[in-house]
Amino acid sequence: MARTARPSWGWAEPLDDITGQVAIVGVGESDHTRASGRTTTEIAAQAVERALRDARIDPADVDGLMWHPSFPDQLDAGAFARHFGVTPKWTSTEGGGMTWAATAASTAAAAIRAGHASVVVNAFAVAWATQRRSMVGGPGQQHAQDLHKRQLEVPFGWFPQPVYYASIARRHMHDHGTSEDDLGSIAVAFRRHANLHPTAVMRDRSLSIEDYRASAPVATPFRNEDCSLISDGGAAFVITSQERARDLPHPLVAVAGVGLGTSATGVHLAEQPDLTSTPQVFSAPAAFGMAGITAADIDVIEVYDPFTIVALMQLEDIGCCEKGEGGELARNGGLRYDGGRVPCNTHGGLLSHAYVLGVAHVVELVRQLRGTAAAQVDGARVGVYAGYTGPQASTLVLVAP
Amino acid sequence: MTTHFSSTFPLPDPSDPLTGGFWSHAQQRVLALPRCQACGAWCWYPRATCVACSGPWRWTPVGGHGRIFTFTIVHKAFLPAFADDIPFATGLVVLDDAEGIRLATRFSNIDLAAIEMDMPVTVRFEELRFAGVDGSMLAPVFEPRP
Repeated sequence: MARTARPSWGWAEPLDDITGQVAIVGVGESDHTRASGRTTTEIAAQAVERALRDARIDPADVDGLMWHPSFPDQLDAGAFARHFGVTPKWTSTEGGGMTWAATAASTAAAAIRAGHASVVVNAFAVAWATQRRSMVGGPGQQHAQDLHKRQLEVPFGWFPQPVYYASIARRHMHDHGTSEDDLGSIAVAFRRHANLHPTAVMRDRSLSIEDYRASAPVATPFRNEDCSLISDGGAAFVITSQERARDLPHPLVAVAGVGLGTSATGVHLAEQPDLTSTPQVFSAPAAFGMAGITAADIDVIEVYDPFTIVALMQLEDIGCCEKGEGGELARNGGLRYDGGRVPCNTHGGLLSHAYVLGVAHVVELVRQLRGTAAAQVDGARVGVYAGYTGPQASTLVLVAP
Repeated sequence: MTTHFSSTFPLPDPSDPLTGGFWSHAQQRVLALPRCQACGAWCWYPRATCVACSGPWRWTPVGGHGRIFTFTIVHKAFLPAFADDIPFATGLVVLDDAEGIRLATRFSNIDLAAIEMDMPVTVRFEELRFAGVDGSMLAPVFEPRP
């Protein structure tokens, strides 16, 4: 959908055009569980083993590794070497989940282009369900370490993320007429997909809109069902050149575009001039320009969904519908894998599949484009992952032949 | 990941060089915010210098009238320290006399069922106390304006 004026509170980061260069050739997920006692590193290694098996690539051939150091105990180069007996010669700490699950393709493409690596693994895992019991780790603690939040938000109880995003949802309802049922329709749509997904944490728990309405408030307008799971799990994917990918067993899933949008106002949501928009307004046009597509071309989309409202805002900001019409899209079944106008979070997302911060979204997207997903979208050829951290959002466009 | 959480967390620290002025003024029942001495912008949240023009800023008293920009009624104690407070209303206010910024706050003396967007509110200083935490501190919260 055409946007005449781009807002001024952020920008798209300049990224190299990588169309035609790389593909995602292997995907894997760890077991996704509630508190399991496993370590983060073990979980990540299991996901990587499965991704390499999926790609039919021997661990000895892995010469590039990406992770993100702001999360503890990731599968870094040392842990990879201990587990697989191979030391990757090229490494990057700009990998992992969230926005990096998209931009990893750009970073890896540059390394592959320069000859630093030929097979790059990106992995991410968390053991937050295990850690939560002792209130160490977890998203809440990460946020409480920020000085401004600790001094200017936490003392008033405006903390942690469910409270921020409930406040954003309230404002979205005020500005755009979004209703609690609209938010509930997102939770219900994603849960229905999770019920079809063999490894989703919520596979066996159905959710109707009546169940949603009957659920107790956590932070109004949110109920538990508006908030992501906290689970133990991880996922990984393997990137290589498109040339090499053609010799591998799966149909080619090509990286066609990548975007990264940044909010000038940083991590404190109270400061963002447009409280009900995401930096996806900057990221998506850049990625779509690189890929030569428009939002209307999207067959399936996996959006980072820590809360129902973030999924809704990203869908709007990407252009899947007009701003303010995300609620209507969800309410009218538009997100369903079978017949929805914008099939979304076809594995269940962070809300109902697993809380692995977006890497599993990319795994699901690749399966959709191979035609092997559990809740398969008929004829899916153009897929998008929308990553998000708050101050940044990213967009990954994948295309099947 | 080495931030030291004091035993009084989540009470704020009025001696923090960057943000403590907000709390030291509050102890005198004054709502004060950082204001740029060069361009007059309200520098919220405070950084070393004004984000707009890099000028120096100073804690500046501001009128306590405003409106509710957004709110949520919190029913779950996300921190053990909030256990005695739930349910409570928290959110963002915009101030009549400090254009362009939003302040996180708690809403007090308010009927949780009647709280509304854009509701006129005014500052009120209340002792902030937390379950299991020693001590208290005056905090600028907001109540409905008649």
